[in-house]
Amino acid sequence: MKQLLRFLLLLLAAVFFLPTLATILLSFYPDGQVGFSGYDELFFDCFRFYTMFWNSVLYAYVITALQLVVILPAAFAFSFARFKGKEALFFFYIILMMMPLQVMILPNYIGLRDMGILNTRAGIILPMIFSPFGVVVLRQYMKSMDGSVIEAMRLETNSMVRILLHAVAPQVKVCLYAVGLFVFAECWNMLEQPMLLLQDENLKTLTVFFSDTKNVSDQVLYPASVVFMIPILLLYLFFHRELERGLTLHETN
Amino acid sequence: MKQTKKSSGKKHFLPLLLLSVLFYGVMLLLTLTAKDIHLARLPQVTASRLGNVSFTYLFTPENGEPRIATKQMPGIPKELYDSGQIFTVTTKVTDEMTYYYAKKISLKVDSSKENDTHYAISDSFFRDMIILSGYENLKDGDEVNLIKEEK
Repeated sequence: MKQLLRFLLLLLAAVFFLPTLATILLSFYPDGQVGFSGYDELFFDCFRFYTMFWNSVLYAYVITALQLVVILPAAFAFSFARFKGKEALFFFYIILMMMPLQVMILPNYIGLRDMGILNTRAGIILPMIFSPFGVVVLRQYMKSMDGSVIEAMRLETNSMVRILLHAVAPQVKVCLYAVGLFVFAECWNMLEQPMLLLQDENLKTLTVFFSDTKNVSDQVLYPASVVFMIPILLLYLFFHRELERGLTLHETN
Repeated sequence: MKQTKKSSGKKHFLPLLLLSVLFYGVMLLLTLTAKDIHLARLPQVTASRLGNVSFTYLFTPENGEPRIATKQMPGIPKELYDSGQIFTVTTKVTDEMTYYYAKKISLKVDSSKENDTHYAISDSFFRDMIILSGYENLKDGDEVNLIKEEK
């Protein structure tokens, strides 16, 4: 029974892995012949790819870094600060997290237009920094944190920054890595924001490159997909242990 | 067990870091050199507008004696015309760069006017850029690297 279950799970894993495997294999089979001509065309004929690749890298890393800076104090406040309406505000945060992106994109568009940062890098980065997802996850994680360390730190200093950096951050490090990985993946895969908020081709991301099938030859799509997978795969390999621990430790505690 | 996991994590950190640096390094290198590599692999051509050349020919005025006349006309090098490989240059401008393509054409020459090096062309208003060197293996529609453009 156990072996059957194992076989079924392996089969399921193979089904999930099949599209990725197909992408990798087809990237070496562009013109009905095995070779590197797809990669050759992508790297030496398709210069838009580089602009969009570096845009994706820039947006993903900057948003992830800034979002981690924002969510740590926000989650700390929701966990430990005492202020009126905290629970209501957190409830509002959860509601915000549940909202589909398509609902939020129009108010975002209007806000960015009125701020004059539509069609700029800031127009993509700014709304993404304040995503509620990380705050909600980190807050839940902080609930299981050892509060005595913070109390002990409070005897030494009044600086909230020092408390956050020396008492809180080391305890939630694993969760921060996990959230960071999720945020990076979300930013790396974002499509609607650059499509709707950017008109300048030089600011758009790789996901737009894939959706622009009119101007992109079929031959480069699979090789580009393989390159597109690498940064997120590398980051996952870096932090997969933290991701697993970040997702399970809270429950264990 | 925890210790083993941690040390195993540390063991993988350096290769992964090197792999990441290598990946982003290669991407950066390709970003900086891709256009140059692309251009270096194309046929290298020079092109120019056909200039006026002096042609000496026999001219017979109405009711007059034939005499030798000289006229400045656009001329095409004989070697180029005889090869049958006459290409003009067309351009396609994108955000990234300007692409040049060879377009095969046929030119009519005035058989009565020639000198040692050139044939006179019949269409005196022909002002397109003609590929003057590097045309040997070109085909219609090939992308070329215009290394020298003479006006």
